[in-house]
Amino acid sequence: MLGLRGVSLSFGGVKAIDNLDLDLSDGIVGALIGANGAGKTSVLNVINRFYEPQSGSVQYDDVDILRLRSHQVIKHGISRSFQNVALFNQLTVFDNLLVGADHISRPGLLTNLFRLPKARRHGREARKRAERVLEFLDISHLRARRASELPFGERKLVDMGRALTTDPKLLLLDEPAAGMPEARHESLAKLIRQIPDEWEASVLLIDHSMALVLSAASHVVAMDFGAKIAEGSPDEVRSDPRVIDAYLGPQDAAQQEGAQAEAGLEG
Amino acid sequence: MHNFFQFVIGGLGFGGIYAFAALGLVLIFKTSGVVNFAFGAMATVVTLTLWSLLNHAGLPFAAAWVLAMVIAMLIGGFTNGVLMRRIERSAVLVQIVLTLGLLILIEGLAGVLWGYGPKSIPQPLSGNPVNVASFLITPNDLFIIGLTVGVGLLLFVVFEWTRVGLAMRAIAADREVASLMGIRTNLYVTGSWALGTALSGIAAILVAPSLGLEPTMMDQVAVFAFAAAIVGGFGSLIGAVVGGFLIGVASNLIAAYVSTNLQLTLIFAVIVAVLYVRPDGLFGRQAVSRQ
Amino acid sequence: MSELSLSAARRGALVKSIRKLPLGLRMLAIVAVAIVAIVFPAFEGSDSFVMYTATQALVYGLAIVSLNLLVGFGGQISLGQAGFLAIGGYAAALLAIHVSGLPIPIEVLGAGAATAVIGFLLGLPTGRLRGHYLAILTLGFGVAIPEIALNWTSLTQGRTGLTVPPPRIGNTIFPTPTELYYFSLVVLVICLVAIFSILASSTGRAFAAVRDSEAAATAMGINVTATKVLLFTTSAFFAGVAGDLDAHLQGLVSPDSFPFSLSLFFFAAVVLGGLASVWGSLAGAVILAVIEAETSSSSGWEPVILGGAVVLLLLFLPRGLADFPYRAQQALRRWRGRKPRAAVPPSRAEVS
Repeated sequence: MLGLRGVSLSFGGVKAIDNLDLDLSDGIVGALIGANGAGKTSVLNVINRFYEPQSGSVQYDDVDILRLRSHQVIKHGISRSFQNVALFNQLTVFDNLLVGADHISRPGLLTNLFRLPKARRHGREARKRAERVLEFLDISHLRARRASELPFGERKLVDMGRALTTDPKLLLLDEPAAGMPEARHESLAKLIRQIPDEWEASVLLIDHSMALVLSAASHVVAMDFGAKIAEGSPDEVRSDPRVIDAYLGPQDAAQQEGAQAEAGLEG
Repeated sequence: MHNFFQFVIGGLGFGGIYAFAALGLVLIFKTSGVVNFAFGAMATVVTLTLWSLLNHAGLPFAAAWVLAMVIAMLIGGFTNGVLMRRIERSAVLVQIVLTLGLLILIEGLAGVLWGYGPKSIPQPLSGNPVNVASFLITPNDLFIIGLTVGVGLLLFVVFEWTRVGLAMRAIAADREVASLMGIRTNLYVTGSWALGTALSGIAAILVAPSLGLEPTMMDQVAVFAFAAAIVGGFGSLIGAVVGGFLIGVASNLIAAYVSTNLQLTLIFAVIVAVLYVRPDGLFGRQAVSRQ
Repeated sequence: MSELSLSAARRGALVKSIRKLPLGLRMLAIVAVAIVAIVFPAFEGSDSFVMYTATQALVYGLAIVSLNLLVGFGGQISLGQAGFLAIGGYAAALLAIHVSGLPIPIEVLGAGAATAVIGFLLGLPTGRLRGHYLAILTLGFGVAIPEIALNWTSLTQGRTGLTVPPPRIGNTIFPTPTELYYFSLVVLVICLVAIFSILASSTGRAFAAVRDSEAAATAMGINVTATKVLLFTTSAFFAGVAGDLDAHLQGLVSPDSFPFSLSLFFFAAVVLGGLASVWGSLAGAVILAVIEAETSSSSGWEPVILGGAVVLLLLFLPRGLADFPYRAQQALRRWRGRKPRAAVPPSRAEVS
């Protein structure tokens, strides 16, 4: 169970997160929605310890996350994907996934050098996990490709896969649908909905695509200018007047989203 | 105590030389984001050209110096306009490697063209040390100090208070944005390479009478210049001048009180210490980075 | 399925078909190189200068691979790799002189370990430094080491240097050029096996992860600073072993054996051979040793050739020689197809 209390973050006077409370129960898909610059990615970066909030607390189960260094967060079961995709470009898709699996047991250099039993056992485990993720995301055919060769939409999938390979209890997904044609949003939403059951992990999802968020998540938090403006089931949030005002206001916003997603294909 | 201050003053001349070299490095780094590891070799070629102008063309010293500065600017401008521009969007590593390749190439060419035997060029000012407030200082050192302070202030004024300086600061802050604002970034970057090469050329011309002019002369000076630039924060022109004088004085004190043979090592220790404690230099501002 | 995945699948097939061929050729090439390396002395063993050059190529090979580990596989920079060789060389000399009857494997490991300690210390600040600062720091290191060796006369005999006895196992010594060649070859091969083993493991993946994206590596639980320090330590170890081999080859270590230009030449060879290519680095080492041997009489041209090659390569073939067959194939295909962009003439690439 994830709990943020009174988290505030600002960059030189600009408030990115404003006194945010946020709870996410285990075993569900939750979502953060909001316009560009509403502070959604900043929330992930705080949970992930990339940003140091000026005030507030972040608790995951019994762990005070703010006491950890950023590379230790994953040891407590919190993994993430990246908005702009930060794959290891010169490695193959499979190796990218293996890096995710590597944190489970980290054999030392000498253990690896002499291929001691511990190193071999780790290699087997890691490959098994990576295979399972390839299958789940249906990207087995990409395994030997270099990450840099893939189109953006598939890179996003690999990015998500790498986060899954770490055996997370909580998966933070930063705009997984960006760069994918809208036709694939529904299958992606279905995939995300399966994560709690298949991988025993809860999901905190961020996306521009309202359709994806509403179809994948069972609990939604809406943000505007760093602050929480609404929270509840997808239907409740969708019909909340403040959300309509801040985010869905102009009826063509959703169409613009679609256009952006298409444009993202080229990148 | 008097001795100590005499050693401090004795280090100021070399300090000015390091300051010029650091100024050239920092100026180029500010606009183009490249640390020019070939600057020493380029400066040496400028000085060897000066030597040829003096000894083969028989020009007077001042005229030869002016002509050498023009050639320095051509070399710097050519390096950016023809070579560096082609990889300006590549990774930092690639840019560093290209300047290293140039360092090897230019040093080698200088050896082939001018040979490896040390040559001599005269000091700008000759003459015995004069007594200033009970401290001895040579006219040449006074000239170097004056030139350094003068050029440093001039650059500062240009950079802070003129339209040219404004454009260069805009490029230093964000080249893309500067370009969108209609600034001719390529022109300014090439210009800063030209000017930066002239500045390091001055350093080489000033140091050659003491070190003996040969192709690898600047390899050692380079370490002092890098140290000066790092102490100054690698981005501030004033910092480069102050850093240059600090390193000059420090190395003179090391020579006087520790050993003349450990100057490089101890200056290296200074680099390590500054980088450990303040990676952005004594005068640098902490860079704010967002993921 | 959308157009997107269709074109991706087509491209995948293309890439596969391109890659399949070189893999077979590659194995063939490795076997061929191994055979040449083993039988080489049978033909040239009588010419001690040729054997010296060949051994030098092996030593440089290890040094350049150690640097490529840092630069190509780890995305870090060292302009002071010759400084590591110096430490390894002096450590080897001191061990061989002061510990009589020391088995050669212990000596080699000792030289590597001593250098690794220095690499560890030099690596400590690199977690916070990147790019230019790291280049300057390591440059200073490379320049300072020979100066320290010059001044620490009680240990190093100053400018005179230390005479290094030939390698020995038990009571047998191996002083001839051919024996030194095989000694270096065996050590090189063992080191290469170790390096490949590391690169294929989770440790090697961590190096590459840090190189490609520090943010993502951190999110995947990799301690970026510790990984960089480990990389420097590892690189220094193998450079130190190369220094040990070099000391035995030269029979002498002195401050003048490790000029700054040597570090630069190593860097040039890494670039010429291609980043993150072990075989490319070995090719770069052969080129370096041969150029050195051929130009030693007419001094001055070695840096011109190496520096010129680096500059041309970066401008025209930025991925190094390892990429040359592919680029040549592409150029050839373009030329045959007579498309307007046939403008990269193979002749220009061949200059480098």
